[in-house]
Amino acid sequence: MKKTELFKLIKTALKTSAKITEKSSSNNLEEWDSLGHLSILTALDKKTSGKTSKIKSLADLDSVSGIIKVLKTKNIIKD
Amino acid sequence: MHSRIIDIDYYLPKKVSVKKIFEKNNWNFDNTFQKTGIKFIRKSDQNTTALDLALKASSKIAKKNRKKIDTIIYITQSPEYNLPSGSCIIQNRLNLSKKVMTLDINQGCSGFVYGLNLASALINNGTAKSILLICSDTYTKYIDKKDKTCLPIFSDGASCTLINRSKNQKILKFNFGTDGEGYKDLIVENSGSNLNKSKSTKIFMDGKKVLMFTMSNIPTLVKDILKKNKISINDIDHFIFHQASKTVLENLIRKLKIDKKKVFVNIVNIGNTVSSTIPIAFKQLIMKKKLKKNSLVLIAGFGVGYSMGATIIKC
Repeated sequence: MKKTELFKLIKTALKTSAKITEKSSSNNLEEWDSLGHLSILTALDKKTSGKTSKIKSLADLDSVSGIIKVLKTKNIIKD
Repeated sequence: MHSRIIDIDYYLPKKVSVKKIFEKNNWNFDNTFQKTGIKFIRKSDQNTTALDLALKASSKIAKKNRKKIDTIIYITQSPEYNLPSGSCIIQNRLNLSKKVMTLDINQGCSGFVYGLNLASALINNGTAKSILLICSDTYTKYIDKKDKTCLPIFSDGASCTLINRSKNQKILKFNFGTDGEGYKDLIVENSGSNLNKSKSTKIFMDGKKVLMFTMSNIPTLVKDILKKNKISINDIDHFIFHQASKTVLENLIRKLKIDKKKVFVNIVNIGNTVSSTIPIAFKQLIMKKKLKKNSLVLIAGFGVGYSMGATIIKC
């Protein structure tokens, strides 16, 4: 997955009109509450055919940069 | 000797509108409803206990089968007392024989499957002939009135399942699993013998972690039970998953690639009654005349613990 695809995925999951960047997080996006986080986890699971549901730490990550960091360590994000 | 489910009954206390609770607190109901799929929860009165609900769910079946029942298995995480066990009290209140074997099991959402397995084993090894498997919980009493996570999900409710001997195998092989690392993700910390005044007496649930647990473990649990019983997923007529939430159920349907029509969902007006969701759904399938002779029903319970269990029932 590319970073831009992740941004798009998060934007769709949160149903937000805001632009998603590496600086986006639950602190600056109203839609990223605990329910929004469930949507992100589900969307990631769909996109990666189940690979991300095994990464327990994703449940605690409430920033795009944090998600990118973890997905890079698992070779799910490559750029 | 094999075993089979003979009868199921259940009791649900009064309906409470989740929307009204949310409106009262100025919370957004629509966003939550999209994730939970629950419009009404069931809430028992302050003075009504899980044991009271259990007795209401069991009274008819017990009355009809009083002389035959030789075992009571009581699944609850809302015990009347730390001691004695609730099943002893149930024996007395239902006026059952003093020769019955009684046993409590502390399990939540997987509890019915655990109880069914134990009931089958007790019948198979000749210990029992007729078993009352009673599930009852009053989780709403553990919920803080400002808890937006648990309030719109958990319901109080009880079920009673009568399991008897059978010449034919109707309850097939079981599969279980546990991931105790997640015990803190759904917990009442200040409870039991671990009384700590700095901790809460209210329930805590990390919904994100519970979702991750279900997405990563339950599809495998389902595939394993099919493999163990040498049954294809396409041969299952009905799936009864623990009614955790709409999000969980939709994810299981997607990940298992199963026909949505085969998955029984009754969460909208009942909510999550913990260990009773599966027997209540089973009874409703029977009442709707959806079960035919030899229909295959796959049941899977999962949640608090984390704990999970599954089996297949032949009707």
